[in-house]
Formats: sequence, C-alpha cells, structure tokens
Amino acid sequence: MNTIKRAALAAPVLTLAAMLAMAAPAAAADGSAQAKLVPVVLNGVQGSGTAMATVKGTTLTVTMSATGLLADNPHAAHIHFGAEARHECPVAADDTTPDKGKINTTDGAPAYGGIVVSLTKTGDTSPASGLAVDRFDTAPGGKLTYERGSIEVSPEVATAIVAGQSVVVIHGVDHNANGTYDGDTKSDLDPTLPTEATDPALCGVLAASQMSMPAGGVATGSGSTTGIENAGLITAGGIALLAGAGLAARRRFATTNR
Amino acid sequence: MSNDAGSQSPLLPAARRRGGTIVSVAVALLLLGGGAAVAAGVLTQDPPPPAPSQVVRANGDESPAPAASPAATPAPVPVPSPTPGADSVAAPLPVEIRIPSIGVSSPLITVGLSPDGTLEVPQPGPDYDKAAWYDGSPRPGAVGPAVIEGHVDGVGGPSIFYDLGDLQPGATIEIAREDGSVVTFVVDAVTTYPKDAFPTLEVYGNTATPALRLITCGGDFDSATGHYVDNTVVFAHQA
Repeated sequence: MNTIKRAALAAPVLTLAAMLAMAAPAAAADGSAQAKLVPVVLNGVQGSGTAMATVKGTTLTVTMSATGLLADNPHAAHIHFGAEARHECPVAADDTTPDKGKINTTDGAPAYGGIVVSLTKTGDTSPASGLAVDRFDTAPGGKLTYERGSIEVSPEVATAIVAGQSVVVIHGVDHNANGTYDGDTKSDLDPTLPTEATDPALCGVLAASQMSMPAGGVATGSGSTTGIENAGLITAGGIALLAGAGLAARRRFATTNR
Repeated sequence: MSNDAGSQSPLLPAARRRGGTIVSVAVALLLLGGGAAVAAGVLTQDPPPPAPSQVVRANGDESPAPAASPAATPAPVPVPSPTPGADSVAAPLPVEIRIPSIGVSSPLITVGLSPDGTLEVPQPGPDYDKAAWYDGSPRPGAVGPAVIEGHVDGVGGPSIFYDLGDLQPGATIEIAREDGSVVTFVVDAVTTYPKDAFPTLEVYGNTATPALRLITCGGDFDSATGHYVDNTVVFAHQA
C-alpha cells in the first residue's frame, strides 16, 4: 500500500474517530433513577417521600414529593454525588463532627458526596445555588412538591445518576421543634445560617429504574360499554313504534269517521 | 255514511277491506319490529365495567376500603439494582395470562412506549382484545414490576380486562412463559387512579422482589376526549 493510499484511508478513519470522541460525552446516558426518601438517622424527622430523575443525554427532569418537613420554611434540596463517596445515606457512625448526636452536612459527605445539582424552583441549579434559600420549596403544611425539567448536568453526573450512584437529600431539621430554624450551632456550610437550616432531613439513593418508565396512565378503552350503547337501534325502533302507533291511530280515526 | 270519504273512493268495498288489512299488518309489523328493536337495544346494553373497592380521588384521598380487603396499596419500595436488567433478560418471555377468578385467559402480545412516552396499547384489529406485556418492564418472575395492560372495552363491547375491577385481593394470576413454565402472582390490591394524577412511581416504581401490575381503564367515560378518566391498577406479588 503506498503512502498516498494510506493517507487517503487515514483521513476518514481519523475523522470518524474524532466524531465518535466528540459524540461520546454528549450522548452521556439515557435512563431514569428513583429514590424512596427516608428520615436521616439521628435527626428525628418523621417524614417520607419519593424522587425520580429522568436523564436524556445531559438533561435532567426531576420530580420529588415529601411530607413531614418543617412547614413554611425553605428546604434546600440537592442531588449529591462523589466519585469517592459510598453512594449511600448516612449511618450513625458518620456522626463525627463536634455537634454530637446529629448528622450535619459534613457528617453526610462521606456517604453521599458533594452537591452536584441544586433542586431550586427557579434560576440556577448548579452547586453554587446549594444554599439559595429563597429559591427552594418551603414545604407549605410540611408537604414538599417539586418538578423541574431542562436541568443541565455534566456527562459524569448524568452517567452517575443513571448508574444509581447519586443521592437525593432534603435539608432543614427543626431539632427543637419550635417552628423555625434557630439555635446557637451554626451551619458548617454557611455560618450565617443555623445548623437546623442545613442539616439533612430526608435522604434516598437514586436507584436505577427497573423499567423504562412510561409517562402516566394508559388509554385502554373505547367507552363502548358505558352510556347508551345501542343508540341507533333504539332510535330506529322508537321511530318504528311511533310510525306504527300513528298509522293505527289514523286508521281508527278513519274507521270511526266512516 | 253516504257523504264520508269512503263513498267518494274509487275503491270497491273488497279492495278497501284489503287496504285496511295491509295497514293493519303494517301497524303490527311496525309496533312489533320497533318494540323488538328497542328491547334488543336496551337488553343487550353492557353494564359499565366494574369498579374496584379502592378508588383514589384526584386530591389523593382514598375511598374507604372494605374491611375484608388489605388496608392499603403496597408502598413502592425503590431498591438499589446494581445490575439493572440482568434478571429480566434471564427470565423466559411471557406468552399467556390467566386469571381464573374473573375468567380471563389471553395470549400476550408485546407493546412498547409511544413517541410521547406513554404506554402503547393494543391497536384495532385481531390483537385488540389481547392482553399486552410492556417489553420495557421486567419479565414476569424477574425482580421488579412486570407491566401487563389490556382494554376494558372496544367496538365489540367488553374487552379482555373488562372485569379487572372485580378482582379481589388474594386472587391468583398465572403467567405462562415460553419455556412452558408458569409463574403465579397473588393480588395485593386493586385501585383506581385518575389519569391526570397517575402515581407513576407507585405503579411503575422499583420493587425488591418479582411483582406484577395489571392496568386497564376505569371510572367515567369522557365522550369529549374519547377516553376514560381513570385507570384501574392491580398490584400483585409473586407467590
């Protein structure tokens, strides 16, 4: 094979390789993951919830609902992931900080890693908005509902979510049950906030879905067995009855007048 | 009598009598035929599909379940699935569903997802009245919720899952598989949900063990949209 031929072959091969290399990160992953949210150990929240993340390439749609949260106060919520983390919710043994007896954000990190998505209701969703307390759900009546699409993430994060390695955490624990975030202990993330505002309340691993999740219910009926089914037959029969009755009446009328 | 319409008629009395007979026969035919048509129309009317004992309203409230049935719909238990799909591929493909207590027996066809992300349904034609396994869900007998749907009715009246709402907790569902094996499921709950508040995770969410979900239509029929407003869902676990 001469050099010119080899060069002619190499060009398309290299182009193809370059295209594949460029396509790979953009493709990332398609799939979904779901979590059952349970109270974080030691923090005493009596609540529960569910979350689902659907991934298309590097675009995320997240739905989340939870109950039993401190009502009418902001609840920072995130998707956490760390390559070095355990991809789990914290256990009691994770309580290593001086604030003993409670799991704070530092305690949680070895279990679920850092913030990769801030589940804000509006605006930025990057880790930078992790404590944007004015943009998180405030759980009216203790109930949190959340749905947001078009969340852009890195290919690494998209892959981790579909692989079942990320964790959803809802923060905000009213340890002293006085209806607000307060106390002398400050948050290890932001010293202007009490630790109650950032302590993890509910947590759940986003496990890979066992099926490609259908959207909503199914259209499995024509309605043929509801309402009046044989309308045509009944109408035709009715017309025949009326015609017969009319004819009979006319005939009786004609007869009596004869 | 002399100045009535009859005397001016060109018809002879015999012919007039014959005409009268024809009218009488016509009257009798019309009355009999019309009556029969109305009776047939009314009598062959199918009752609306049975509704299950448990109904979830749009606001999330549940109707009180009768004391005999288990208290609540089993909670979805999302569990880690380190090797998603591995089990599903191992299990044999399902080929037939049998629900003896409501007289259902149907070969299974396969459906996927429509472009809008909803579950496809059996299309008009020879397969319309067959039950369908969603091939994106786990195979029956593998870990996770296998999804099988069927129409409640069609142009011909009741369809394969017409009586699904009558299914009682504890009833058995058999799934025959292509290798000849049969896997049996036990009904946990039968619940009706509004389609506009369908609990996707509760129905399709991960389970720790092999499970089955049967789905059909229910509730009121909205003639404006051409669809039922509710879905009836059967939750079952492998026996």
